[in-house]
Amino acid sequence: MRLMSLCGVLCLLLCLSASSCIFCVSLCAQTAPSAVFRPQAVPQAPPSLVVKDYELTCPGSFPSDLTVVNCRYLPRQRLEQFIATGLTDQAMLESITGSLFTQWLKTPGEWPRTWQYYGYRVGASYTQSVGNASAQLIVGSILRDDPRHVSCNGDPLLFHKELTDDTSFTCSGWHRFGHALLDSITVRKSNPGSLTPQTLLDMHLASTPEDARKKFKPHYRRIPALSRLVGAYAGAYSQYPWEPGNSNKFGAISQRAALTWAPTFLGSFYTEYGASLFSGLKRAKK
Amino acid sequence: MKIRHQSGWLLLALLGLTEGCIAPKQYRHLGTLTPLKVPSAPDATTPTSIAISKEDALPVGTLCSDRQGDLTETRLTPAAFGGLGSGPCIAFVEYQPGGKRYDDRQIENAEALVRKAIDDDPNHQPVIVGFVHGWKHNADPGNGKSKQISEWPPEDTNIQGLEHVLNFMYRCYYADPATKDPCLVTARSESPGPIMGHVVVGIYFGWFAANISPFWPVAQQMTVYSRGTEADNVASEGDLSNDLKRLSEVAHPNPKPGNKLEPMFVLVGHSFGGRLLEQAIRKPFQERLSQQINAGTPGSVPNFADLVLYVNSAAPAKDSVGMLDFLAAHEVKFQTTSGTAQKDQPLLAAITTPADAATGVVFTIAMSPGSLSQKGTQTVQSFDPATDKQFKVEEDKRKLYRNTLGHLQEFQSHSLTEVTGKTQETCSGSMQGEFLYWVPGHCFRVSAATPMPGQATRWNGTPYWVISTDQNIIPDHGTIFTNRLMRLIGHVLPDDRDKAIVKGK
Repeated sequence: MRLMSLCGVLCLLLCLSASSCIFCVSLCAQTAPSAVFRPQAVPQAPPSLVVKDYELTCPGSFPSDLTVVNCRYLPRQRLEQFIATGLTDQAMLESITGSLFTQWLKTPGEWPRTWQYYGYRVGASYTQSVGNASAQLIVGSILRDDPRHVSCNGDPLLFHKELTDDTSFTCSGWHRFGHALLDSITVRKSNPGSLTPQTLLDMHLASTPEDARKKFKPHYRRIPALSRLVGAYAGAYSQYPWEPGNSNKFGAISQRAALTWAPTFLGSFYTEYGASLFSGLKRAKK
Repeated sequence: MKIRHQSGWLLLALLGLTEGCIAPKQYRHLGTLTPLKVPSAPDATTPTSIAISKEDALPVGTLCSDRQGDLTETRLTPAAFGGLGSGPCIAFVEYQPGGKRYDDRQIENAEALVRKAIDDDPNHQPVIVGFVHGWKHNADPGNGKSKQISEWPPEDTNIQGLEHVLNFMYRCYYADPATKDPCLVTARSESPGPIMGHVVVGIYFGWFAANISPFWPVAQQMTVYSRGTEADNVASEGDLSNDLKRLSEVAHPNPKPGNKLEPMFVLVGHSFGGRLLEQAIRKPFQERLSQQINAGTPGSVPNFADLVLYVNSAAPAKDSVGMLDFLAAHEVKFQTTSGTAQKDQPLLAAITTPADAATGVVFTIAMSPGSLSQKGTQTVQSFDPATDKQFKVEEDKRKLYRNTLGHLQEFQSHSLTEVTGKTQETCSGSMQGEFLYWVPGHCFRVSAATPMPGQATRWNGTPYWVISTDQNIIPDHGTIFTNRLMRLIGHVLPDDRDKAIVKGK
């Protein structure tokens, strides 16, 4: 029990220490010789101009982002996500602030509203965060999924829907809402991506629009978000040592698992509506 | 025992602290390649997939080795013109905390690269892009080795972005003589005949804008004040200002050589980099403007740069109105003087998006406490060449302190409105003072801003263009290296540069 309480304190301490980094100062400024350039002889003509108006859309990226040349969700990106959201200050801050809420709700009911049990709540929440993120890392790596959210108008499957004219498909209000819901419970297979149907047609690599779609669609198909589901349960089960007996029955664990889905829903809806929200705020201000 | 037990936790906490901190250092030393290899954009060589293996990736500037040697031995000219097709090269100039240059040879190196680019370009008109990175970025090459992609840790994403943009320019337009359909610049000022390829080079200005690891995202957000102050310090120190001046003198020598088209010299600052660039450039830029205004022969003194561009700049408007004041007070016009009509051109441009929560919301909140110390109003000079009318307006100082210029509607020089019922084919063309711009699903008209209510003319008609775009062009604060934005910048870039001159009083 004492150890558990200390874990909560540790969370606070780590968060504070991380924040103190803001005041990091110059530690090891150094100088070194500079260099001159020497182009090497590799005769190579500039490539074709076919790409000039090319708009590649990857899950999680903005259409036409020049820096995205491969839609694959790289292992390093998965690891970065794990560390930044499951281990370090974001997870700590969520634990600290979320525990204030559960303290107010007095959840679980067996834990009184004291500093000691606030520590338990923080510790339990942080453990859940680590458990959830770890499971998502492992299961996501095994399944090679791509959990990045994508907005409706940026979804490659919808973005490249129209092939017959130059008017691109744009999502209606209901499309967007439904897409945000769908995006929170599904992921994609991590895939390098494909040339757009229009490009395939332009390059005469597909004889008909249907052929183009057939070549294109498999690269962006959705699958159920199994890694998120396993992560939610793993996080909920990892709280097992902390929680009182009644909270460790399957029903209660499922409830906790369902609650941990909230950030995923919020993330999906933020991806869909964030830009519109800020644009709308600015317009209203004007 | 208790103390010992808890000291273990403290040790862990300290470990977290040291892991989260990034120490300032010079990243680009002798022996490193600039830039590192990055994958090429997808192209026709990959018909079924855009997956490009490391081996197949076309290098961006990987041929610009910085091993000891003589830069003049080889040529940067595109392959189609008998050169080596080296691709874009990037030189790095880095500044210590406080703004002193790490190594003087870095700027000498950058100057050498610009000279080399001018010499090797078929028209002696290379494209030179200077980029000042923004918040949370630096000149980190990752752990990449020669001709390798640095995957862990990755090269700084702003460097990758610049590399891709330079590559885009090189491939899309400037290096390719096979097409007359430019995708970047709307009009060409070269003589008829085959379009000549051009050399493209970049200068990356690195400063201490990232002091917390991205693995600590919350703590990183809290560096907004310290990194903003660091940008101010670097600007006030003066080394960057001097370096920009040196590069400008190489790219646009004064006096201007007769009848010779100059290199395209563009300076770009993003986020706090925009704030830094804006302050660093003010003095040399205004000095050059004064020379141009007072020159005996109009057009004999070259522009400091062809365009100074601030993208999603995190500079308070109070820092920006100084330049607007100068331009308005001197009634500066930058217009084409020949052809069918006089056309306004920009010398500076601030492009932002209302979807940028960082400068639109977070910046305003962060600056609000400080703005309480600001009281009263500030007089801002205004000028619109359409009416040749100069006037003064009063603006709330607090408003100028807690907002960026791009987010203040009254300073917008141009407005962007969506036009319905257009397709890609019909959404094109430009006329006096406005142009149509297409992104998939949307057609926008960019035209001179309408006057504010109660005003007869727009406040800002100076060559410092301020444009608030749309979420379909710039979706947020950081996504700026996109084809969509590049094409918009292509419209903003001065065309008919050899026919446009600066005038003022």
